[in-house]
Amino acid sequence: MAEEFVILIREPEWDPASATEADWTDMMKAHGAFAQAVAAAGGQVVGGDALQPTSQAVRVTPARNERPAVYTDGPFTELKEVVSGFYKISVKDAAEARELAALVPTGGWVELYPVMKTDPS
Amino acid sequence: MTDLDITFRREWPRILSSVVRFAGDLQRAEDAVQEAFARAAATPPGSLHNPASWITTTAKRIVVDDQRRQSAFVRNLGRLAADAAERHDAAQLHESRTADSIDDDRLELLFMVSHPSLTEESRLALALRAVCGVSTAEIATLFFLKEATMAARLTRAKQRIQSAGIRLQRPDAADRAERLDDVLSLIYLLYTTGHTAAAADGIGAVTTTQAAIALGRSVVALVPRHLEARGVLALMLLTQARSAGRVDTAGNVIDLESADRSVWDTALSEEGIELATIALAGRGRFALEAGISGLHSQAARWEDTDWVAIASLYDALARTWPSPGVQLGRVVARSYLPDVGPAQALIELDAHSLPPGRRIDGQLAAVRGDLLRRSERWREAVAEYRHAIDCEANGAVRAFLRGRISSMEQGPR
Repeated sequence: MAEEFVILIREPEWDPASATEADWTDMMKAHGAFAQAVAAAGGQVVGGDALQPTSQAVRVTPARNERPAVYTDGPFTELKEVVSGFYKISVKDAAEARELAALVPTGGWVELYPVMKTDPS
Repeated sequence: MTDLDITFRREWPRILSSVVRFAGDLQRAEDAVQEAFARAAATPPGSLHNPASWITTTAKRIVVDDQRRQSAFVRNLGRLAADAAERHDAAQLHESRTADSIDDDRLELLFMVSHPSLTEESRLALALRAVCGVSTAEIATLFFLKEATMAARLTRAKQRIQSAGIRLQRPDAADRAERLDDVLSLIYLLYTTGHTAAAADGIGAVTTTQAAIALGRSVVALVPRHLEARGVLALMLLTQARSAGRVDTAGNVIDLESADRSVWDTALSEEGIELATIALAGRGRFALEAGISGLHSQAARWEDTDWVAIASLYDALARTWPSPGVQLGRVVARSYLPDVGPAQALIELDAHSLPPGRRIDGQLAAVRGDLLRRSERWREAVAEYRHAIDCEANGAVRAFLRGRISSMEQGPR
């Protein structure tokens, strides 16, 4: 029975524009190695992407109490860590997920969330 | 082979692409280059210091002369001049080219030929002709057609590009981005064409596989951050690394299980595995195929093959690229998993519905035959292998399948 997890990659800063070719290649190698490790464990990388830095992001506060929605453009300098990317994986169990999550490349850390099952089975 | 013949084979793509850029028309360029070669052959031997350059210049003169002879002279000359000005060529016949590598020229031809209105087969035929210099007769053999039919198809394909009103010019960044995936597929198609031909009758096979790999390297240099480009190169290198052990001295096909791994090219393997690792970050089709290939290359012996990882990559591949080949490969990989096995894999295989087609029927029969053989259902296995032989055109593969039958008839292991 496969279990699904979402991994959020958190880093103190994330500036893809300043990455050199060598940086980029190393990064892609590390991500590729993670994908290989998941495969070697018989699991699947169901999804995942790198995100653009917060300078490209927008904070959206939904409308409430008759006030309209509020949009605040990034960067969000008050944040100490940003989410630079994520993965969704399908693996055998939580123990395997923990082991694999340690292989995700990051300048900070990753957060591992089990996905909430909503189907009746 | 005269020096001119050697020049012809080697320089053809570079000369052609230069003239195509000048003329904006693949057919006209090809005719002009052919004519220029003929004129070069008529000069006293050794009189041309730089035949390639002479032929290029002469071909361009022929293009302009041709235009003059037609009633559309003014319009075409205006167009040529306008484009030349655009390209800062200043309408000179003596174009002083900087040393563009031959691979960049060939890559450019591939982009030109990856035209949306052409079928994949037409693009492959044009690419073999214009980029690898394969003769029409050889291409016809590869496509199982008569030479005249092949020539007609090539002409029609070129006309289709022309009638679509598309000028064959250096594709701009937008065109390149749009056509990149098609170009990658085309490069891989070139490689597999050459690779398969080697097992059959070696039709300029080495040139084609080497050209494909060189083009793969050029694409990676062109778009270094494109992960699938590395995936294609990785896949080709890994396949190439194992090519030494594929065929024995008598020309018989050797399967992966029995291959002598000591003759595999470790340098190519390592490079391929490194590229595949990077490409896998994107989880694209070529990256996944390269990953599978890399896993085979990494196993020191057949018994050390990491089938769990291979099956997992096949699962991912089947989700995004469920071609019949992938579905079959996945079932075979799963048959080696300890908790599946050949008998269970056979049940899974029969639950799939594959599209009809002689080649697929043949491959399906061969896979069923293999699974039945490993399940020790000898009579049924022989029947399937016989059916596979009927569907298979490649002589070496047929011989291999016949060998499987005789090894079973000699007595089960």
